[in-house]
Amino acid sequence: MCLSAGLILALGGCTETGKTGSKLRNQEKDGGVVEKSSFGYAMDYDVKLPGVGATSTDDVIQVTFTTEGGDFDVDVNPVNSNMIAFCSTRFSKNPQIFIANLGEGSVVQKTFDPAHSYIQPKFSPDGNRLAFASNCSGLSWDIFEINTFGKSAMTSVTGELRDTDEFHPTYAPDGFNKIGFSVIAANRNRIGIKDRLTGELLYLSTEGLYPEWSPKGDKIVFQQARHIGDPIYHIGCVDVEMTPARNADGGVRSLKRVANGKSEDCTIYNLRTGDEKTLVESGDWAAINPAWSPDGKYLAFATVKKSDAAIKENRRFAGDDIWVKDLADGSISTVTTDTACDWNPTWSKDGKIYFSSNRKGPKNIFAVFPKFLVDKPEMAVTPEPKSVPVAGPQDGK
Amino acid sequence: MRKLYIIMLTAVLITGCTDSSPKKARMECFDPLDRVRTVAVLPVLNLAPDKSMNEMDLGNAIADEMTKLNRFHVTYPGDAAKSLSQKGVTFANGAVVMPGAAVKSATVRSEEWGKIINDGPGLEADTDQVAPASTGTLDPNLQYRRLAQMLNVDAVLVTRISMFDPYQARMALDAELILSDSAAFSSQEITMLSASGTAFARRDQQGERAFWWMSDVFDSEQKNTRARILAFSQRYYTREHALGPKIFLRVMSRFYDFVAYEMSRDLAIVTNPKRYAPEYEQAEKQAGLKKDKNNQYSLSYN
Repeated sequence: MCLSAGLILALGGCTETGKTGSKLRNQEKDGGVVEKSSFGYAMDYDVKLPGVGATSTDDVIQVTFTTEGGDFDVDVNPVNSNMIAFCSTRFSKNPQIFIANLGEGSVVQKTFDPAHSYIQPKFSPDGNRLAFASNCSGLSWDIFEINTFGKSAMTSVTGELRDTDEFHPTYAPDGFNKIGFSVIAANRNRIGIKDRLTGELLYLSTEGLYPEWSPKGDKIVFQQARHIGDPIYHIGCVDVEMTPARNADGGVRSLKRVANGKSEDCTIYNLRTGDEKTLVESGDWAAINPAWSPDGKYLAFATVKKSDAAIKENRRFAGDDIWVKDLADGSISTVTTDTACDWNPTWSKDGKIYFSSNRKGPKNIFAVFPKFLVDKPEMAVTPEPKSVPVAGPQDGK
Repeated sequence: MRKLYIIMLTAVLITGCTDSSPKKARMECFDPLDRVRTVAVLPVLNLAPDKSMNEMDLGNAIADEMTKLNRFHVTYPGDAAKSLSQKGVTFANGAVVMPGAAVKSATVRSEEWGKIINDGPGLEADTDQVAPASTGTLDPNLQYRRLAQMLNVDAVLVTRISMFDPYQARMALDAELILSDSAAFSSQEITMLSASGTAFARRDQQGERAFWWMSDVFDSEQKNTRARILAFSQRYYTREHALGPKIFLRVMSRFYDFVAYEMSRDLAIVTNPKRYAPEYEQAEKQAGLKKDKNNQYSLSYN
């Protein structure tokens, strides 16, 4: 009697996940995978290639499926929510940049240099350029750019900075022609901003890492370590104002630039910092990797050593869960709850949050639609009209 | 008894089938020397009043010992000096003389850190405000890093002698291994940083880019140094070893070899104790040395 009960209990425990898996496989066999998660979000991916695709096991959707190495540092094209860029060690020890089109199920490797690392890809606001960090110069980490589509030579953004490491690029909204990045040198973490028209380089007076420019361009959010006790990270935010630079006669300063075979006048902007405040802070756990929602109303971030599992394992150097802060009312809500490590969230235009996780073993890219956004059909931000011409991607500068 | 078997079997089945074990975060460890593949031993800078030292012999001995570690491709001081002299860098009177262009570029870059945005006006900072530096000295650390970049190596070993007495066989020396790049982060480190909840200090941050350094006085009259000379001669000069430290040091180049051996031993053990400490300790045991309660070697030979 006892033996039977034990066997039933044991077998029940063994096959629970198996049932779920077979159910999903059957649905896929039926063709046209359109799966509704428990929160009403429909996945419309119908092609699945080895290594890239999309299946749903729960409200969290696995997007990449590498079994060798890992996929991480994901970013979603702001124009096309089906296009993601990520870096991966699936083919080499040093990470390389890949672009996957989830709608088509295609994946394209963009960098081919196994001797060096290419990390933290970031799409430009128009989706045509891709910035990333690399140590390919052999001297320091620098920011480079390539075209999203087709082949192009790498353009160095911060190549002249040989004594500092620059990484994690973030673009100002289209038209401002500025790119921000983390800079580390001599124990100081700074946020650098380079004007891509004039080449002028400035640093924010605040300390910070992993800057993210808000969709409207009026704020920069970043993570910052406290200087007392355990130097855990919290998330800070600084207001920035960009005003057109003026000549001595009061006219707007501009430069001519040739882009896509057309010559155009591009306005030069000055940047001024404003108030600085802390958005997410706790004395017990860390908040890292801030990411704006497309409408600028929410902030996704990863926590460290917040969940019970993370506290139990004393995980100080690995992400824990993804959370979202509603900037209107200040509330924070959990998006993922798995005991594995989730970090590096980024939003797509349609409101999904993509992130890196090792919940299935190797690091892979996952996506989730936050529960509280089910009733919000459109999150895309509408850029505010500007009085100056909006410039396209910069080529060959 | 049968009931006991059933309970045990049930327990085994349950624990075997449920995957309730929490997932472990993978911690990545790194050896700071892992990314250093090429090292140039710069000509020894002799700041001692006694100029009878043969700096090139000492430099070559150091390069020999670095080569024996089997970790780096080593550029010898002669080659390094020749290569640098072609770029206008010379070594004279215990100092490095760098061309103005190298000093200027380094100074301008370090000045860039001064261009910080603060609230208010003054945002249109002009790059030309940075005064060009045609002469002057650089921060030593920056200077040696620049030399490493000129030599296209991962690190340079800088050795300075502040005291030398050939008759007593005595030498005061300090040495630093300085990384060429400012890529303070390896790929593993920067990946780890992106998921880290705590600001972590890089192991090579101390002293900027010098992640190993030593400062020591080697005095052959000291009992402890004699013990170490004995261990060294036991390992490399088996025949002369039996003569004892004093006679062994009659040839000055052996003293250089000993100092170089001590340097490379310290570098190896500090940076990778697991790999190198047992090897050196075994050699020291074979030489009849044992550590006393103050962690100093005692000498069985007198």
